Amino acid sequence: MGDKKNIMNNTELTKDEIELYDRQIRLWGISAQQRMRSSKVLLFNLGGLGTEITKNLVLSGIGHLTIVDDHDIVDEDLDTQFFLSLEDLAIGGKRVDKAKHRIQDMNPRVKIDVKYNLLENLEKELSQYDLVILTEVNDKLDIIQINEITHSLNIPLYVCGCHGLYGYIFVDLIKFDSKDEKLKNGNFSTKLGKLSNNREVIEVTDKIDDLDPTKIFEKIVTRNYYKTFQQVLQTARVSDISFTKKQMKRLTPAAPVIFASLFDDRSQKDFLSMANICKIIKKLNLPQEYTVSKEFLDNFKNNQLNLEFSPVCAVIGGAVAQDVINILGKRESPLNNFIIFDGTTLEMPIFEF
Amino acid sequence: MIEAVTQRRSNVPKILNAFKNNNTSQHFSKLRDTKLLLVGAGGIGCELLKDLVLLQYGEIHVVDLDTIDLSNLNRQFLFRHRDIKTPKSTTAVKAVEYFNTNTKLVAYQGNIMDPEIFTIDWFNQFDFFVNALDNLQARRYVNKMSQFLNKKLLESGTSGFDGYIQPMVPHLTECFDCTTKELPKTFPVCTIRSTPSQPIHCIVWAKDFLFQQLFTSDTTIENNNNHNFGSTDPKEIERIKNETNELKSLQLEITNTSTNNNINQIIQHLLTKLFVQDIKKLLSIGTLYNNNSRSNNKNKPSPLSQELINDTINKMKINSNNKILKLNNVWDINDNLIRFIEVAHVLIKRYRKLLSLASSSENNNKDNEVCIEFDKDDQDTLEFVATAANLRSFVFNIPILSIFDIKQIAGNIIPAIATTNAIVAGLSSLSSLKFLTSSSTLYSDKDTNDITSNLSIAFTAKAGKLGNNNKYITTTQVTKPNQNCVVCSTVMRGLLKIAEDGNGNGADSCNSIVLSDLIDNLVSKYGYTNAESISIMDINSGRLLYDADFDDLLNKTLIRDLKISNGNILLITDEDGNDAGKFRKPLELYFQICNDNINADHKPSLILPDIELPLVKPLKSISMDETTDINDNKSQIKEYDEDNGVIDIDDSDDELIMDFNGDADEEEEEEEEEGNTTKHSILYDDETDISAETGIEPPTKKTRGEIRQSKDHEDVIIDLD
Repeated sequence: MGDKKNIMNNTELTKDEIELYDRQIRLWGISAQQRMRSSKVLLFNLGGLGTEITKNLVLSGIGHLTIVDDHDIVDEDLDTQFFLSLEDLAIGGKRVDKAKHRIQDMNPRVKIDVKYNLLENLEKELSQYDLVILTEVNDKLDIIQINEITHSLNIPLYVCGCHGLYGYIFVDLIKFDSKDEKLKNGNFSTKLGKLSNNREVIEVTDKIDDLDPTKIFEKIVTRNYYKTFQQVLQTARVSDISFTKKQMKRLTPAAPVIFASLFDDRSQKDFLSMANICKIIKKLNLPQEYTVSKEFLDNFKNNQLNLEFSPVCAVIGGAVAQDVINILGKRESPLNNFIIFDGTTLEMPIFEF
Repeated sequence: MIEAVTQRRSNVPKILNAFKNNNTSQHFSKLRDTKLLLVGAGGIGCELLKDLVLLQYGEIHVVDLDTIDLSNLNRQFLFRHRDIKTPKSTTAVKAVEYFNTNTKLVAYQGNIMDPEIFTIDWFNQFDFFVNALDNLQARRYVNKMSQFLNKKLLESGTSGFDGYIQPMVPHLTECFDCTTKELPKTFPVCTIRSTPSQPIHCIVWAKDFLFQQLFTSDTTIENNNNHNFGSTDPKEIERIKNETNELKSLQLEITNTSTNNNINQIIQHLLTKLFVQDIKKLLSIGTLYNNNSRSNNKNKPSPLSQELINDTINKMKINSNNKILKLNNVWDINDNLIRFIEVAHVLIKRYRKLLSLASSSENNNKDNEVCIEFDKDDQDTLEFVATAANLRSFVFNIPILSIFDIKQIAGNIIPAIATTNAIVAGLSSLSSLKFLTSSSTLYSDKDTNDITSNLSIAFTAKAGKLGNNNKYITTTQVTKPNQNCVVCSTVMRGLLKIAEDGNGNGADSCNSIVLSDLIDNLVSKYGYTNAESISIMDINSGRLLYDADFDDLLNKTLIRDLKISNGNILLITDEDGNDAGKFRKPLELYFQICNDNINADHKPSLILPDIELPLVKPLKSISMDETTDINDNKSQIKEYDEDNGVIDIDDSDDELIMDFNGDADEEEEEEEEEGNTTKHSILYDDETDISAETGIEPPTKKTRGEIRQSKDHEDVIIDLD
């Protein structure tokens, strides 16, 4: 099977594949679909987020997905993991072993591998993949270690997590040029140059629409720069982000709390204490009047922390998978670089740290 | 019916404690007691069903009309290749069985708009409705049901990377029809028939004119002088009419198998007429293509070479064409011509076969139209339309497209992906949780604050978009109903129940009730001045049943004589008003025969809703166009076809424009909302984003944006007769 990847790389999509993927090829084109088919993705953990991401990537027709997960199935897994059944729970065993055939059944064209653990030589292992996704990894040291390797190997990394009604995504694509097309706004041309902290427009060309010659599109190449997870933890300042006053006022308290959950040492007694949250608020350079209520923090710690919730997994997993597809297909602007989702307000601000 | 009762440990009750208005686990027990209706088991529907089942809602009924198609499998994750052609609703319910631990599920394959299957009492059993639909008509229907029954509704839709959700609470928030929806794009007849300038014009010509004229047995000769052609040039109109009639006589060559004309000859005639003779006649109308004409001289046509046509046909008689053509490549003119000839051959044979079958069948009903319908998934019809469109494009100097691209335009295919559907379903499920926090009585002030301050309309804003980079989802608080909305604001609604007598005669027992009984009841119940002051209209058929000048039907029975049945909607209007010049608000009554509410003296009875009809200042008369859409879509299409002289290209009305307060509260904080007065038609993927980003002032100030929104997949074909 190992050689098959190379053969697939060079062949065009078959008529069957074009028919199967028709509705998405119409969105991102045949060549993006072909690139997706030749890519290899590594996913850590098959919890609620892992399940959503797996579903989306396997349906979309990526080439090869490897899932690493060492968990035994427990009751709560059935809250979010729709590849598992009550029968699987009754029998017991590893989640990945139970889920594998149902994942494969969704799309026989995708090569699916499952593993309990990675090799000792993490660098050698990671270097085999085009892209790495971490879910349910709560120890920042693990994230930092993996990110150091992916960053040095130039492998895109997505890290995401779900805390009940809240969730986050971190993205490191090292340096990434994205190509977008948009309808030209009258005579206004998009200017070259810096868009924001981490992005600049480096190329703009006009293109007349095939179907309607009155429409002129701009092809825009944007260069995205990324920081590592560790750099973000150290340097993130919300004040550097061009939120409007209103956005700032409505900024979800989940933002500093989730940031703290990643920054603080989980083994310490004061993990997510109000004192620590206040330190984080200061560190993020949030406005002085910004506070997190005790009620919110208590609810977060007691009812949300580390728990996966299916609709939030659907939103976060959908956003991650879509970005992964865009990167692999080399289409559309990628996320940059830290996103928080608040399932109570449906707000999903993007922090370009 | 699938029932799961097994208990297991779950984190859902704990997480729901976040809804602080409730005592511990109250929110979860409410969710467990909730029975909801999910309309649609397609792209969003599969995702929603999964989310709602994982949340452990008590009971979910799933309705879908469709069966599964190969092109669904890239996103409708509950379906497999082996499920193709099976009903979506039942297959989806079966597919979630293995991971469903706590929800009772019921599946129906049927049209949600069929009042015989889905009666209003059936709708009434649910706590709220969740829409995962793909077309405007059904969305409007469920919206209207939510208004009749005062049930909350969650609306959603996706198109490619774009998606939205909108929670709706009758009388407290905007309903689906409070904002205008974008109607399908249409083109004037003369653009299609005389002066095409874009590929889509040629595709409409091939699909709605050429294909229709050749492969339907309707042989009426075009002589309707009331046609509006979008042109005042009598020569041009004359030419268009003649052209149609000539094509009809060519169709006779196809249908008349007794003549010696072989198929190749017919195709030769057809090609010569369409691409040589018709074009020459068109050019002979001087006004169309000269320097000061309205048309684009760049697209001045030049006829196809007669030699090319003849040569190609002659060559094909000798050698069959073995060239393999890729559907996603653009073919040159020769390949298009060859393929047109081949596929026309196949279709003519198919049509003759259909005709001979029809004439040999015993019930030889002349009214039965014999036709081949255009279907984007019927490769013969698709390639015929595509190659004909391309040949016409070639003649008019318009770019030729691949079959793949033409399929999208002719079949009105909307791109659809798993991720957007997953995100939208997630947002919809989260919003559904907020429907649980309020009590079911909606009118108290407390609830008003509760519900609307917590509900948001949400759009996916980032996915696939360059601009607006600091949010992935755009949210905006729900707004109050539009005071001029004919669905939720300018009329009152309720159920008109006809109860059987309970003597075992079933619905027949209701037959003694006549129209004047209804009128008497209305007058005494709602305080109209007298019987002469009201009018009654049957909205489904658009007929007047009664007014002061029309009392012919007073003694007719409602059911047997007037043919009013379940699902009919009657509009009662106060025509005279009172002395103070005020009128009772118009009332729409949904007609329903029921066998409960049986009268003690065992007589059939007529039960009117217990509502107060407020006195209001005179309204502008309610336009029938707007009130008939619910069951009478056909009349609208007809209107486009004939009265306005435009041809409907998007034959499914699946595109709609969604208004929202385009973040007025964010970008323009100083701006107070002044009702719903200012509206700009800005598409959601509006191009002002990047210019705002780079400091260029966008040309129009956006107070209310509009999102272009569509059903998440296509598949609706309406026969344009």
